[in-house]
Amino acid sequence: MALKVMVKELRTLLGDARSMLVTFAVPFLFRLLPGFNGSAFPAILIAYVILGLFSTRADNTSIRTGVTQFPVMVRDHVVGMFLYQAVAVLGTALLAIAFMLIAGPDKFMADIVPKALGIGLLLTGLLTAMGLWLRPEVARVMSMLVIILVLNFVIFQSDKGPVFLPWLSVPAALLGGLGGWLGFLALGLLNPPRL
Amino acid sequence: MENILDIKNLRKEFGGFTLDNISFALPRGYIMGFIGPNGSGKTTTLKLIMNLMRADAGTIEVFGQDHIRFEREIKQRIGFVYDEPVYYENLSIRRMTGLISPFYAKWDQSLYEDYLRRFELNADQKIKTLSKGMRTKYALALALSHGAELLIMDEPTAGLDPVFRRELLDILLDVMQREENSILFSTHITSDLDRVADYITFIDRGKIVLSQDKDSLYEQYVLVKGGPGDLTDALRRELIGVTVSAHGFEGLASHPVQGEGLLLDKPSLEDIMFFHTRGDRHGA
Amino acid sequence: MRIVLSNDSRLAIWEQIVEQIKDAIMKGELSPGDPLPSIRALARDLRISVITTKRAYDELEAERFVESIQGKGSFVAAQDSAMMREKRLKSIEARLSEALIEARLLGFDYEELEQMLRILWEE
Repeated sequence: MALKVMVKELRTLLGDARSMLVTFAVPFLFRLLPGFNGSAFPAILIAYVILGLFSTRADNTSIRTGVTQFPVMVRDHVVGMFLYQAVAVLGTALLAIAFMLIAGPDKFMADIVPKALGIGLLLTGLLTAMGLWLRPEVARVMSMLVIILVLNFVIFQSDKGPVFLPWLSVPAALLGGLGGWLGFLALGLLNPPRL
Repeated sequence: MENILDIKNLRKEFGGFTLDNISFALPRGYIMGFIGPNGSGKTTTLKLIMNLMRADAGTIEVFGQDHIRFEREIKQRIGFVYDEPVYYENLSIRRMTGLISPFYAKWDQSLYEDYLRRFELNADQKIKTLSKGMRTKYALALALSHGAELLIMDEPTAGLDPVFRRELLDILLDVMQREENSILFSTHITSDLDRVADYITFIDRGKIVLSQDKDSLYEQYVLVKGGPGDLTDALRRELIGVTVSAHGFEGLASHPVQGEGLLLDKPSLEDIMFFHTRGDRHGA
Repeated sequence: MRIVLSNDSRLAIWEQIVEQIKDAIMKGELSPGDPLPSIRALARDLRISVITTKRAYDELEAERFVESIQGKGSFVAAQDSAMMREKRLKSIEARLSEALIEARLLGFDYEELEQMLRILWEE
C-alpha cells in the first residue's frame, strides 16, 4: 500500500506540468545568473528540487486527502510520502548526472552528486517529518528557511575547490543521508500526524 | 443476522468533549440513520470507525473484523462520503479519479462513468470549481464504484437542494436492493430519514440516547399536546421534554399518556430529537 | 397493484399495506399465484423502510393471504372460496361496525341508519 501511495504521489507530481517545469527547469535557467553556473550546480539543482517538492505538497490538506480519499492506513501514507520524496531526489540526482555528462564532468566539483544526494536524502527526511509534526504554516516556513540556508551554503561552495565538501567522504554522506532518512521515517511512524 | 458494524463501549476524550460509552450495531442489509444535533459526536464516531482517530477505549468491528487490525481490507469494502471531502483541488475529476481508482481491487470504471453521467458531472471540470452539491455527488460516485458493501455518509445532504436530496435517497434505495449492502447515514436533517431508515441511532452530547428500529420507535413515542391548564406537574414528570406557549404545550413521552383533553399524535424524528435535547429544560 | 399510503391515517404504514393488499386480493385484482414485489423492491417503490414492508408481508402470511417460497419470493396464496367468503364477511363486518360506532357517537338511531342503508343499496 505504501508503494501505491508513493506511485500516486509521483503521478501527481509528474502530471502537474507547470509545477514540474518550475521545479526542474528553473534551476537550469538560473545558470544564467552569477553564482548559479558554478561548479556546485548539481547540488544547487538537488536543493532547489527539494524546495519545490516541499513548498507545494507537504501540507495538512494533502495528508487529510491522502488518508480519507484513499483506502490506506496513516502508516501507509507516511511511508509512501517518505519514499516518494526519496525517489524524487534520486531522480534529480540522475538528472544532474545526465546534465553533467552532457556539459562535461570536469566543469563540476568532484563527488558532488553522491554527496549532494546523501545530504538531500537527509534533508527530505527532516522536512517530511517536520511536515507531519508541525502546523502547516509553520512547517512551510521552516522548510523554506532550511532549504534557503542549504542553498546558500551550496552556492557558497561553488568554485571553492575541486572537491565538493572535502571534509565529508562519499560513503559517509550516503550512509549518513540514508541513516538520517530512515531515522526520520521511524520518528514519523512513531508519531503519526493527527487528522 | 450478522452485524456489518458493531461498536462497543467506545470512548474518546479530547478538547473538552467526551464521547462516552458509545455502543450500537448495524445489521447487514439495512439503513441506519445516525442522528443528533450539531456537535453531538456523530462525526467523531465516524472518524473513529475510519481510524482517523484512535479511541481511548472500546472496540469497533466492521464486517466482523477489528477495524484497526484489518483497516486496509475494511476500507476496500467501505464507501465513505465525508461532510466536506477534500481532494487535490487543482486536478480535474478525471485525474483525481485516475489517482484513486488503482487503490481499489474492485473498481468498476463503467459503473463509475454511469454515475458521473447520471449526476451530470463533467469529468474534465476542476475540483476546486465544483459546488458543494457537485462535490457530494462526486464523492458518492466514487463511493459507489468500488463494490463497497457498507456506505458511511457524514451529513451528505447538508447544503443540497431538496430536489437532489430526494434523488440521493432514491439512489440509496437502489443500492439497498442488494441485501449485502448497508448504509450508515449520519445527519441532523432528519426529514430525509423519516421514511427511509430502517434503524435509528440517536446521539446527543457524546452519549447514545437510543438505538432501535424506526417502526418500534414510532410506536413507542408519543407527542402529547394540550391546553395550558392541562400541563400538571404529574404530567410534566412523565414527559421527556416540553415546550409551552400561551395557547398550550407540546411534549414527548416514551409511552402512551393518559389525560383529559390531551391530544396524542405521532412524533417525527425531528420531534424525538428536539425534545430529547431540550429534555432538561422542562417548560419555557 | 395499487398501494397508496397516508401519513395521516391512524393505521401504521405496515397496517395500511396489509389492508390494501388484502383488499386487492378479495376484490380479485390479485389472483392466487400472482407474485408480489420483493420486500426490498416494495420498500424502494414506496420509499419506506424494508422492515415495514417485511412486517406487512409477515402479517399477510400469518393471515394466509400470502405465502413465501424460499428463494423465489412472495405470492398470493390460493384462497379456497369458503375461506374467502369468511374473510370477506369479516371485512364487511368490521367496516359496518366502524360505521355504526361513528353513527352512534353522532347520535343517529337505528331507523335513520336503516333508511340510509336502503338508499345506498339502491344506488
